[in-house]
Amino acid sequence: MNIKRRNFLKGIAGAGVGVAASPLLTSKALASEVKKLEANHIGMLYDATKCIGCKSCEVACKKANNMPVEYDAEGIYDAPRDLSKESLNIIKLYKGPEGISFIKRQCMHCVDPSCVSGCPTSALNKTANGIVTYDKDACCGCRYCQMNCPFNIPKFEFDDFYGEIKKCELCRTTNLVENGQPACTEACPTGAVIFGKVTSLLAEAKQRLEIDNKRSANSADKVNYINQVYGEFEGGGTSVLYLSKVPFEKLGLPNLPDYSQASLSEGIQHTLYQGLIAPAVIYAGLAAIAFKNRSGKKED
Amino acid sequence: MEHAKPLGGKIFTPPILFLSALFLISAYFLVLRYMNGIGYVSNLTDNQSWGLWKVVGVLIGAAFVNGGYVTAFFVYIMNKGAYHRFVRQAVLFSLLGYSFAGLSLVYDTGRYINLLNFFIPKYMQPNSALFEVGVCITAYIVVLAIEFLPTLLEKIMPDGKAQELAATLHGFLNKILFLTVAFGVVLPTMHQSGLGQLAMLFGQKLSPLWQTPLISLLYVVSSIFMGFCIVTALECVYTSNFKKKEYVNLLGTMMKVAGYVAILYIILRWIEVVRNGAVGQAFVFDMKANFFWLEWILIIVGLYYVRNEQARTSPKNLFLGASFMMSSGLLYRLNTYIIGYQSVQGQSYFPSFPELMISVGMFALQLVLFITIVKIFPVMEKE
Amino acid sequence: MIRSKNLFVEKEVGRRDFLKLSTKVATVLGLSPAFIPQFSQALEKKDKPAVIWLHFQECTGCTESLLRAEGPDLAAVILDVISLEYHETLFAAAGHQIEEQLHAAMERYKGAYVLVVEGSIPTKENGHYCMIGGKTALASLKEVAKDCAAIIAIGSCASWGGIPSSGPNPTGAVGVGEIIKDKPIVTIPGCPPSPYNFLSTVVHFLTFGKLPTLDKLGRPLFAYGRLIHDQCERRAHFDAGRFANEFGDEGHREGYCLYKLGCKGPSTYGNCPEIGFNREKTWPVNVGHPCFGCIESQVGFNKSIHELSDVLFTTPPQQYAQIEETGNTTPTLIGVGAVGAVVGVAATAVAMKAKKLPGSEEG
Repeated sequence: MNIKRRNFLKGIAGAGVGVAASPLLTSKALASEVKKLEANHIGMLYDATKCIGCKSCEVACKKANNMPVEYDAEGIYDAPRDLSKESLNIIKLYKGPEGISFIKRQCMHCVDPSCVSGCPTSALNKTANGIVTYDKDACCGCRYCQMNCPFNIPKFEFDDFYGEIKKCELCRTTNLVENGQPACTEACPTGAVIFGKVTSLLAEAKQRLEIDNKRSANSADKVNYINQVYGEFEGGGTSVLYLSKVPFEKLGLPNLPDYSQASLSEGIQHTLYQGLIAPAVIYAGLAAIAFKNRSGKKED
Repeated sequence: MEHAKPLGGKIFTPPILFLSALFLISAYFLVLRYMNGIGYVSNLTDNQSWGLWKVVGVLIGAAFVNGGYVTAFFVYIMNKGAYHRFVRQAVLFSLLGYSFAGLSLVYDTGRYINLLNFFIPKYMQPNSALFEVGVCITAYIVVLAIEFLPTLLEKIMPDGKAQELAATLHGFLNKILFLTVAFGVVLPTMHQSGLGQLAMLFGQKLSPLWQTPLISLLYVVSSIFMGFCIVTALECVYTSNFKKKEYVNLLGTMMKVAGYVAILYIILRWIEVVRNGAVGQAFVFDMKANFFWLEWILIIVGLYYVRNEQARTSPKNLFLGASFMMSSGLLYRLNTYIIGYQSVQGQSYFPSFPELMISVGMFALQLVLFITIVKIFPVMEKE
Repeated sequence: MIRSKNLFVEKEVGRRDFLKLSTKVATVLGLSPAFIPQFSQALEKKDKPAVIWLHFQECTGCTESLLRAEGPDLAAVILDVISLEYHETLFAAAGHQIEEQLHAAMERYKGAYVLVVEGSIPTKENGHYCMIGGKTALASLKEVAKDCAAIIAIGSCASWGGIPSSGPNPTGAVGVGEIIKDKPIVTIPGCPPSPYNFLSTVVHFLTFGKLPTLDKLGRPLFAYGRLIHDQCERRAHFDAGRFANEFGDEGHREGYCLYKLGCKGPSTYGNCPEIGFNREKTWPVNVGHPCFGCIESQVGFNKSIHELSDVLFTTPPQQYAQIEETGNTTPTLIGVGAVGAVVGVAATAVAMKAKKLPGSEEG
């Protein structure tokens, strides 16, 4: 019985080693898996200190994308409370000890998106210019993207008998084509949200921080930004960047690590299954053992 | 399989009728679902998009039916021929379970026709753990069907005309058994780990009490001991005669192995909880923490029932031990995807009545099929 | 019947007019109708305060707006309520005659008269940009203010400098408060301000014996306590993001918010949307033109009309989306019951089966 137990444990250990070794290999695997920001990627910069909460962007987005006006749960007209299948972008209000601030929420068009990584049928894709797009003909409606998005962006048409996922696509088939920028950035009266290449927007954001840091504390123009551009590193980086004077977490932007979950998950996935080598090897080994057992004497 | 025989007996017993009624209720709600959308019959929302159907139907269901996985490994790889008698019931239960898990996707996905995209090269996305799970489970269902084919053939073999063809097929299948069996071990390992891997993309939406890079390993390990538990439990349900000591010993050994694997699982889980710095959260005693502790209580109680050789001679202890340990494993899956998962502050989810009935009804249908097949085909080996 | 020296306007004012006026004043002051009798009484009192009304750098619009008021004929009433001792527009007299009148009034009502100032006071080159009767406005104001009881600065020009003071302010025009520091000053800015703001202040004083509560710029709070933005009838459009982008576009024709056309409502205090002007109670936004902030000193005649306004305070409506909107599905009783039943059934089945199994621990 002892010999058999040893064999058994060997077997378990053998099968488990590959999987157990994965975390150790993760850091190496990470280096090759990470998607990076490209020079031509487009995105948006939202400066919460300039936003007056006028919601022009919400209205323009609905118009450009042919979304109907919603009634909220109490029957109030055109007052969406959150992103939904009919509201691809929303302004939310924060009231706190720092005062009032607004925050614009829509798809962040992450540099290394979890949704793209997790989608089994390639319905979500990161295109060459950085937009994360959705293809309803590929989508099977599994809603894994809803589960794994760190910002809870994709919304699903639950009350449709053959629903789609809805999220901001930077007006790529509508305003971006017609007027060269998304409808929201075009509509914003104060320039709180602007459109451009992510690298340029990042430089602009950093410049605003630098200028404000140089101002004296009692200058009338002093904004007192939080000294960080949100989206530069969060979750591996996003194409939509944020500036604010209220801590980002209070505005609902989660405190994410500097790497994307996709890189971690894909790192493990590739370590285990790259080229299906590991499974094939294990398979061959097991088949061999089973063959040997079949032709040899049974032990019990 | 010389000793396996159809159990025989009446097909339309009261339990069968009751279970069928449950299924008819779920069929009614399914019709509503297809006419009006998922939101009409369920409480799934954008904030909790995977609920009872995915978690119970697919994840928990897949673990529940891992008997086939571990017995195949035990018998064909570890060469423990004595456990051969358990293989067929395990394979049948697995086949039904996985088929229904796959079937549940047809009502739980929003655009079910595009499920075929899993198999169209243009749409395949191999980076995705979900893709791997889907393809793997499909392949495994095919393998299980092949593994179960001999049972079907044995039933029809006595009938004259099909005899020769059946015999040839049977012989061929036996010859390549080592190939299919190896699949039967590799594939479940892959997709059980995949099912755990899915949670990796959740990042910090999954509480640190459960989130870890080792989650795929933990899912494999837990599915192993759960597999032994389900086989033991099913055997206890179907056996009335426990007089044969060797039989009870077989079950006892399986539970012993399950116990060791469970201990390994406990150690690995707790190492990760400590590494995440999440121990403090376990003592907050909010809903997450309470469900977390419940997992450990269940598994410790289960281990207690099978703690030593003497305890393992009692079928009652074996059955209870298996039931408790399995509950812990099932709760682990529920915790990973529903209890421990939080997309928005204050978000809560509870299945609706139609949602629940659809799951219950489909499970009832599986039981009906299992019981009926076991009565008609030579699956169980009983004295 | 009213009579006032040298007045060329003569009107009949009856009891009913006093009541109408009292009702209007109560509304403007934001007081309950219970005060109406009190106002009426005060208005009919015999001893009326003397008022000296000076004009400097102004267009006379403030006086004209008073004269244009209707329902009742405000000018006539006010002239019955106060004893107007000196007014360049309304008096028939001119030249030396009216100068004598001014000095006689100052002497007779020394320390008790109310000085109303309309128009800004130039200060550059010793103030010689505005001279009346051979004296600079600056000197004139100082002289008349010396013996007054209180000053009411009517209109933006008298309040803070108004249009003459807009950049580069070549005459150094300033409001009364920059010159006179030792007398109580009420400012009623606007270009012109609603005449009822002026009148209600006066009636309040007559009725209660004190001035209404003022803000730190001397403006009565009942009229200038809130932003125009917070009283605007188009506010709902602002809150919902519906704007006119150009004059005549669809949004403009639909009556949407004029913020993007430069409306200064969000940075201007006043009550224009509430009480309006003229018989139809209109005001600029009402007829489709953005407010340009004529009341507010850093805004009107300072910022360009179509320049985007600062939003001084954000007062989002109650149903504005909050950061954390919970997405709960409240469990139904039947749902909870059903889940409980399933778990219960499973647990019972396990327990029952366990009971039936042989439990002996010996082999």
